[in-house]
Formats: sequence, C-alpha cells, structure tokens
Amino acid sequence: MHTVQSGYSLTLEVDEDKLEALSNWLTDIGKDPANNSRIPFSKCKSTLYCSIVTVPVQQRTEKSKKLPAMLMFLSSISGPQKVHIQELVEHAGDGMREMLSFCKGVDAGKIASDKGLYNFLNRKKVSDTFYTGIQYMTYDDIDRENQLRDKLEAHIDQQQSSGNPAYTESSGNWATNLRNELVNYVASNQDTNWATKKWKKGFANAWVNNITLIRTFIFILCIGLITLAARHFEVPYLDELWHYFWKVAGIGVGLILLLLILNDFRNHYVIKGLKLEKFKEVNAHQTNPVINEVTLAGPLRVGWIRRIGFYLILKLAKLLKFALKIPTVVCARWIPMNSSQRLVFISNFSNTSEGYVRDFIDSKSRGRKINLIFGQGYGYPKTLLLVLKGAIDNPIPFVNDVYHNQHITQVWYSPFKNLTVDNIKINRQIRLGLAGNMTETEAREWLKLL
Amino acid sequence: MNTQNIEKGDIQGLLTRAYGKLTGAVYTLLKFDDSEKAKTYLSALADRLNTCDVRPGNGEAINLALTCRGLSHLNLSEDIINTFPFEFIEGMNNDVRKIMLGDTGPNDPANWVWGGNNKEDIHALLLVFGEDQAKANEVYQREKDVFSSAGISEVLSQEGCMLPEGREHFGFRDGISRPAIEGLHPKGGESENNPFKSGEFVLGYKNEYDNYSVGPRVNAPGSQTGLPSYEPDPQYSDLGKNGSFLIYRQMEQNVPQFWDYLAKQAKDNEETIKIASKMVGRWPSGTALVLSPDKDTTNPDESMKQERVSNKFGYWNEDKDGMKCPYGSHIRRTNPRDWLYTEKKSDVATEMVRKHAILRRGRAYGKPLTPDMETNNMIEKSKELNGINDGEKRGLHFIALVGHINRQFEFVQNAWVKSPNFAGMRTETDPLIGPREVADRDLAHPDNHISRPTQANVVPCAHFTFPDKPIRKRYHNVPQFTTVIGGAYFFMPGIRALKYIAS
Repeated sequence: MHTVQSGYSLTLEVDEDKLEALSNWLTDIGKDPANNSRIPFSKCKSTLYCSIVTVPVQQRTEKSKKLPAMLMFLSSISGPQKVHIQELVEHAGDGMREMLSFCKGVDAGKIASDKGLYNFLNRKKVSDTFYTGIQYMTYDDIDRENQLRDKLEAHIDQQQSSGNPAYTESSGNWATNLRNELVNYVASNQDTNWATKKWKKGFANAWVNNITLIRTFIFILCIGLITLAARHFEVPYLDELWHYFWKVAGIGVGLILLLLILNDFRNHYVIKGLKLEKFKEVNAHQTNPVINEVTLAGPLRVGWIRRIGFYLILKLAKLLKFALKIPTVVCARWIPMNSSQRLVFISNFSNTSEGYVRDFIDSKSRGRKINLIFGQGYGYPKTLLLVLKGAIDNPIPFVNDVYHNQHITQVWYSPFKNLTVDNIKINRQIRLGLAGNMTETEAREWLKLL
Repeated sequence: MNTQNIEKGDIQGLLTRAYGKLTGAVYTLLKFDDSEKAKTYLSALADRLNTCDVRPGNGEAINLALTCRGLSHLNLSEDIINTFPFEFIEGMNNDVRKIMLGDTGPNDPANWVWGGNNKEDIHALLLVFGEDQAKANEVYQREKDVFSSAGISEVLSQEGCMLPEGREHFGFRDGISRPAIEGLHPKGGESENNPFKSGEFVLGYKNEYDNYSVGPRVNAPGSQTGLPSYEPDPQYSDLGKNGSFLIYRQMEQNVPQFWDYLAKQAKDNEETIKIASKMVGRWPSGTALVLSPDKDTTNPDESMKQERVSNKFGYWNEDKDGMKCPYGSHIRRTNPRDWLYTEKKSDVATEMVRKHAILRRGRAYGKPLTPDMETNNMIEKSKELNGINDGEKRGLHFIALVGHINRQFEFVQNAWVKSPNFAGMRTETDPLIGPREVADRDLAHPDNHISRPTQANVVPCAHFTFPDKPIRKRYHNVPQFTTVIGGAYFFMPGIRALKYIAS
C-alpha cells in the first residue's frame, strides 16, 4: 500500500438556520479532537491533520449573488483515500452522520448503513490542490522518528558526559566511527532497531504521487504516436489539422491570459481596513507555540474569467506540485469551492498567523507567487499582469485581506502540534542516515543533523 | 527618498543618535491626571525636545513618547486613535500579545513592576540624558518641577547607565550592530553599503516595501490641521509623519546565575567564556565568532577600530552550518543577516531579514557585578555567590525604535527569539533573553481559555545546543537568565504632531 499524502476535502452546503447549531456541535468536538466520542481522530491513523470549519453565507456586495453557508471537512492524510474514508466510517460513523445531518441534501436513510456512508463520503469528495512538505510519511513514521531522535539525543548526552572519546574527540575517521557507534546503539535497542533498515520510496509511492504528471505525459505521448502513425499512413489534412489545433490552443490560452490581464485593470475593490475585533478573534485562536492552522474562504474577484483563471491556476499548480516549495508549511491546500466562485485555502504552518502572513511577502519572488493564486480573491490588493504589485507593494491591505477571509476553525486535529515541517524532515534524514554506508564526508554532514 | 526630503527638524533626536556622549540617563514613566494641564505642559515641552538636526547642547537632551492610553487621556479622538496599528492599541501586556512575545511564566505581565495588567496606567515616557548622571538627574528634576505642577504624576523614574567599554551586564560589548538608515545615519553598521529605507524606522517615509507603514492620521487636510499631508491619501493629515514607535522592555539580568551556571558546565574559565560566547555569538570584547571562532583575537588597544570590522560579516558564506556561530546564539537569532534556515538563496534571506530590523537605543541599569567587568572576575564572583544574585537589581532598559511594531519587533521576538523551533531546533529559545518554556495560553491564569478550549500546551525550552566536532554539545536545564519586569509600546511623535496632540 502506498503512503502518498493527499487531501480529503468534503464541502457541503448548510442551511443558514442550522449553521450556529453546527458550529456549537463542532466546537464541542474541538475541545478534544483526538479522543472525543463523536469523531475520535486518534483512531483514524491515516489522518495527519484535520480542520473542520463552517463558512457563513458570503457575498461580494449587497447586490451580488449569495454564496451559501458551507461545512468544510478537510483532512490531510497518508495512504489511499479509500482507507481514510473506511476509517472514518468505522471509528466515527455516527459522528459523521450527525455532522452531515446539518447539511443540505443529505438523505439520512442513504447514509444509515456503513456502506451508504462510505459511498456518500467517497462520492462527495471534491478536487483540491494539495501541498505537503513531508511527502510519504505516515502517522507512525512521524511519531517514531521523533522518538528515535529523542533517544539518540539522550544517548549522545549520556556518552558525552561519561567521556566516551568517540563522542568528544575528532581524529582520524571520527565521523565514520561515531556514526557506526550510533548505528550500533540503534541496532542493539529493541525499540529502535527498525531504523537501521533501509527506507525505500517504492514504486507504488512514486507512481501514485506523480499520477497527474504521468497521465499528462501519457496523453502527450499518445497524441505524438497517433500523429506519427497518421503521417505514416498519409492521413489527409493532418498538417492542416495540427496547424489549426495549435492555432486554436494558442489563441485559447492567449485569450484567457489576455482577459485575465485585462481584468486586472478593472476597478477592483480592495479591502481598506479591518476591525480590531477581527484581528483579536483570529489571533486568539492561533496561540500554539510551534505550529498553527489557518482557514481562508472568500469570494473571487468580479468577472467570470477569474473563475476560469483560478481553476486553471490550481490545475497547473497541481501538475507542477513537485516544484512548489513553501518552507514554513507542513501541509496546505487550495480548493475552488462552489464551482470556483470561492477561494479556499487551509494551511498547517510554523509560527502564528501574524508572522506567517509576513513570511508570504517578505521576498518579492514569493510575493509574485502569492499574487498569482491569492490575487484572484475579492478584496486583494490590485495586481498588475497577475503577478506584479498586489501584496508586494501593498502589504497592509494584503494582511487585512488575509485576516478578513479567515474563519475560526472549530475543530483542528494536529497530533504533531509541536513539530514544524523542518523538525519532521530532519528527523527523517536522521533516520535515513542510520541505514546503509556513508563516506567520511557524508557522515560528517549527517552528524550535523543531531 | 533622499536626505533632503527628511524633515530632521521635526524628528526627535533619539532616532539619529543614541546620545553616546551623554552618559547619564533618567527614564520617567508619567501619568496624566489633568488632561488640559498636561496638554499645556506637552505643548511647551515640544519646543524643548531635541531633534535630529541639531546636536544636543548644554550637555543634555530630552525626548518624549506616548502610550495609547496616554493619547486617550489627552482626549485625542477615538477616530484618530483607531488609525494607529492594532498592536499599539492592544498594548504589550494584552492577553494574546504576551503569549506571542513569550511573556508567560516568570515574564508574565502579572508579575511586572510597571506596565502590567494590574499596575498603574502609563501615559508617557520622558527620556532625559545628561553628560553625566548628575546632569541627567538635574535635568530630570527641572522637568519634574514643571510637570508636577501640570497635573502629571510620576509613576516610576529610573536611571540608565553606560557600562565600561559599552558592555551589558553579562559582560559582552553591546550595541555593535546598528542599521545604517538612508537620510538619517547612512554610514556605519553592517548595512552601510545598502542602507535601510528611512520608513523602516520613521513614519511618513517609504519603507523596504517601497510603501508606507501604518501610522495615525487625521480626517482633515493638512491645511486645516497644520500637519503634513498623508502621502497615500492627501485628504488626511499625517499625524505619524516624523514619528516612530518605541518599544520599551525592562529586562532584569541575573548575572551571577549566568556565569555560575556556565562555570558548572566547564572545566575552567576559558571554557566557561567559550560557552558563554557561543550563547551570545560574540566574544566579550564584541568580536564576532564568525570572524574569530576559536579564540578572541581582538587586540585590546585597537578594539574600537575592530568593533567596526567585527560587524561586517554574514553567515551564508562564512558559517552556513553554525559551526562558528551557533544557529541558536543570541545575535544570530535576533539578526540572521543573510541567512535563514528556511531559505535556499542568500539574497532572498537578506531581503526577508531586512523587513525585520530594529533600531536599538537601550541602556543598562544597576551596578555591574564587579566594577571592572573583567570576565574572569565576574566568573569568580558568581561562583562565590553560588549563582544567587547579590541583591543588586541590574539589567537592561531595552528600547527600540521601529516603523511597524508587529512586523519588526514582534516578529523578531515571536519567530526568532522565543521560537523553540527556530532553524530546525526543537526545545530551545534565545539563551540570553528567551523564556524557558513557551505556552499557548496565559500560565498565570490557566483557566483563562483565550485559545482553543483544549489542554494547555507548554513546550519546555531549557536546552542550548551548539554544533561542534565530532558532534554537537547540548546543555540542559539552562536557567532563564533574563526576566521581563515591565514594558509598553509608545509612540514617539514628531514635533508638529506632538503640538497637534497637545492642542
């Protein structure tokens, strides 16, 4: 079974008059997300993080279309989605049914059985663009690799205080020798000897993680092969067909880009100020010392082209996710909710919201990427050519916009609340360094991780 | 923005100079009992305040800053007050901000001597400097005679001093790294070749984003208020222009505890000093570890010249892995220069770090542990005292000036100083000024659930690690050497703005 991480995203409409009751119901679960009786996440080991949050009815202006109240269940998981859904049905079936009873269009009869609930949860999941900084890691991996590091650190402390020269002197092949000492320690300990076995990414992981890219590649390859075959068999009008295809495709892409750029010139609404209460409310919910969670949801800018643009940008980001790097984020996702009329973003990040938001725009290159995605949102500072200006030149409206669109997450499950993405990655590198052989130079670099 | 555009005559002098030649100082916290009388006093004081364009004459200097409550007591309208940044309005002792700043446990504002939740209101800070302490006291007394009869009471008055060779109480030369600022003091410091935009420290000018920081404004054009126009929107007047935000934190330093703890970790004084220097990132002389990692190579006779040299360094090329200056050392946390653990390029790291600079203007208080502040003597004295403080209250009046409290001071404190996970670490904060546990809620009142109603999450951070060969050295149960005992956010207005506030 693969351990590729992905987002399971369930977004459902909620009756406005049930929204408060649902919010209270969720807040109760939020008191103990791991072990509450309704949705006990600690029993669902495929879950790494989960946010459950309600979003009220939103509209750009009084005259514009109302976007409905929503429930968002957004879990970050490792392994197949089917396993995750099965775990939810098995360990939190009644809780999920109760939660769904607040939502529109849910037939209680159809989800009464486990199979019915499974089918519903599987069918209703929505597409997202998911990012993780800790790909392929499972709950158990993160947990035991952190414990492994604790044990290694304690062992090193002990050896140093007892004056073991391997831990205090650096002569000859000192790094190789010390690494061997550590490997022997780990191998001789029942709790840790698993770490000396080599970890392999595996074919299943590589395949599943790159499936979108592989599909795209196969599609292009098929087109190429068909073209070659057609040319071989001298199919008439082939060159003309290609000629027109490229023309149409080029014009299509160019037109969308042009319309988006032209849309940038519209007199878009830019958020001016924000009430102190909103800052207070958001900040009061993000006081964890190490990582915190943020949920943003808001309407897109005016213009149908924005919906198309946002959808395509997310698709492109999904395709090129291997190139995405967000240094302070464990995992995040974007969703084009309500038929791409709403921009949804959630993130589990290092630091507090105030610092995190700053991190986005402290460098111009990062600011341009932020402009491209978040610049589609209503109230965002005015962008030029999609990536210029925006948050880069207008940090204050940007911060106001981010705060304005934040919603208080009623349930945040985070079993690794005190580990940043860097901590988890370093723990993994330490573990990987315990298997196989290393040169003296490699061993020296590896020892710096501890 | 060039030098000529900066209205130095309207900017209070503390922004350009630390008044290094005025060795005496008195910091007085004030409370306005009668707002009308207080306004009269402030209006007259505005003409006596030292500005950036003139060197202080008569061996004295005076500057003034106001808190948000102070502005309210001066009847500044709520509409205007609401244009100040929200962190200034909330204040340093706010329930959420104190968690963000690491002011829980011993640092909790509930324990503060001043500025805490249950303490007397602070409305203003009067900063008085003199060529010696006697002169500073004389100027302070002169002002006191005037403000006492103007319905203003003194909440607390404390002296500030300069220790031998510009050291702070732990015995390390301080105040070496200061930003060069376009138009104000563009020379000297690590950023001399690329000075900071003045708006990073003075409101009303463009900052590193090529934009303006949030400052207060008045909903009337300058022609009606006598204030300059608000650059982003001329229908407003700019009350913030030529002003700055002043952060004042009083931090008590337990010097005997510092040296005694380190002495217990080392075999001799030389090693004790080395561990201490690893914590600071500089040798006691001020020489940076990056430039002189194994021993202090400063020539005492040329130490002042070397001071400049020792500030021109980066981490990216010289010490990426922290083998010379540990990631967790005080100077690397508070100013990572051209390096950030999260970044893959030096220029991006530099660009990001520059958005979080602060201009320090603090001074020490209290007598040094030993009069000569010689490090070996301090170690011996600390051992004699068995790490117990000798009864002398000593520490630092930490004073910093910024254009944006949240982006500059609070970010540094939150993301770098008190973060247990800075640069991939897990359980340590700044060894000199960091708290030894951080929490998601107010530990003085654990039932006060301002956060999610789950169990309190407390992260212990009493380690200090430095990379070494063959493997890192890690120190346990590092005591909290510095305790915050008071603090507040102030606005240091330009002269015109002060006159407007007092009108």
